[in-house]
Amino acid sequence: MQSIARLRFGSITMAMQAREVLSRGHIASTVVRLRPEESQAGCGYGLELPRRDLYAASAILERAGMRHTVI
Amino acid sequence: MIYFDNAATTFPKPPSVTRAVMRAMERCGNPGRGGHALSMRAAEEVYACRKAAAEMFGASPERVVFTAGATHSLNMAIAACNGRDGAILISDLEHNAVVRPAYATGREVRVFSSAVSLSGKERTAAILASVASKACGAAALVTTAASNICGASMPISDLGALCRERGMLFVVDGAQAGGVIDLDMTRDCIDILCLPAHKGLYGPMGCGMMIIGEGVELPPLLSGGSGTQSRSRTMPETPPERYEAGTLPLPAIAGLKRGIQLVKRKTPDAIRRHEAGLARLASDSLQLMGARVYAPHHNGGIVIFNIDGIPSEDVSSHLDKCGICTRAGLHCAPLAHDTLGSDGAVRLSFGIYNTEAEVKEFLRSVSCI
Repeated sequence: MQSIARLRFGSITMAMQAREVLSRGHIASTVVRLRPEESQAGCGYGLELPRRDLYAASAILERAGMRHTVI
Repeated sequence: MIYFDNAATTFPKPPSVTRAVMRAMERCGNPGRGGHALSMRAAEEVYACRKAAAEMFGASPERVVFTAGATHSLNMAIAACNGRDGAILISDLEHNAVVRPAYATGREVRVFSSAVSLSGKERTAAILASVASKACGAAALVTTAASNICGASMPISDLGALCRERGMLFVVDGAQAGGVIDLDMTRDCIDILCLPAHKGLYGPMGCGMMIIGEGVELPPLLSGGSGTQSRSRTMPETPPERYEAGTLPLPAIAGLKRGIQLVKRKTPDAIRRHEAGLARLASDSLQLMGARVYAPHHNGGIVIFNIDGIPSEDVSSHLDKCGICTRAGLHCAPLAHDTLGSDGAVRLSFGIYNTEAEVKEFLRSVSCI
């Protein structure tokens, strides 16, 4: 299993905001350009983070009302 | 050179702003258009500016939309009225950046009084009464936060509350207020705030912001490349990318971020007091010299005046020869001039780099006319 997980967001702005929200929750992540097969409608941005933090990250983002998709 | 035309654009720009513009041009690619280092560096600059603006104006970063300027922002904001029935209310102090788009919608435009001859609570009450008398069935109220031809500002909080109560979209032209008047989207119930980068925020020309309140939706004015969801035939559904078709003015945005940081450090309140102090000195002295100063009782950083028998353009031309930059004429605000009883005047508009010594030099030059 890969040690890195990716989350897709609607825009690079949302990805950057999510990165900040996660940082406040002590989860480090990196904004990345998604691969074509990872993007919903062609061209997109997301966050890359350690897979071990994925569950906690998703919970933090849900609480913050930030829509995201685990890729 | 003495520069008293800061209402047109602030000058000079702080060194940190010009450095930021140069650095952006030397080090950044196109934001949100790729995954390489230069594109991501650019995207970080853009996001940092969104955050700075959001913090200053009480909004969320994703609701800060970058535009070509306040006029572009106002056109988008006023076009938002197309989704609503009813008239558009504007004040009698508006700049053409509000007047023209409002009339271009083809809707009924109702002009409410800014009660510019009054001051204090009496003025606020008069403005609200004027709005209330014209608000029946109105879709939106669009107002300047501060006039571009005199020191008058508008009671934005009170107007915001009234609009919220009446279900009217509240659009604020912050062109002369951004950086000198405390505006908060949430506290003041502002639905859409339109700002230029290059006036009170000390950024470069060619960039502005449209800050959209939570829950406010409007159609995009432009469609084009957004860097994401490219297979979709429509613009993205969420801000800010929904309203940002095409390449962003990244160098200007980088400069704007520095401008916002400088204004935050100095504080809008201190800046306003500085400018108002210079305006008071100029206004009082001009009146003693026999010049006609319009609406001198307002406490802002702008003064307009005329010298009896001398066209305003001639006065401005004389001052220019003395090395003093002022602007004469109607200042793209004929409606405001009509309200003040002027057919064109000389405008002095102060900024953070102006001094009392410069005002005294200006007064000496006026005395020679």
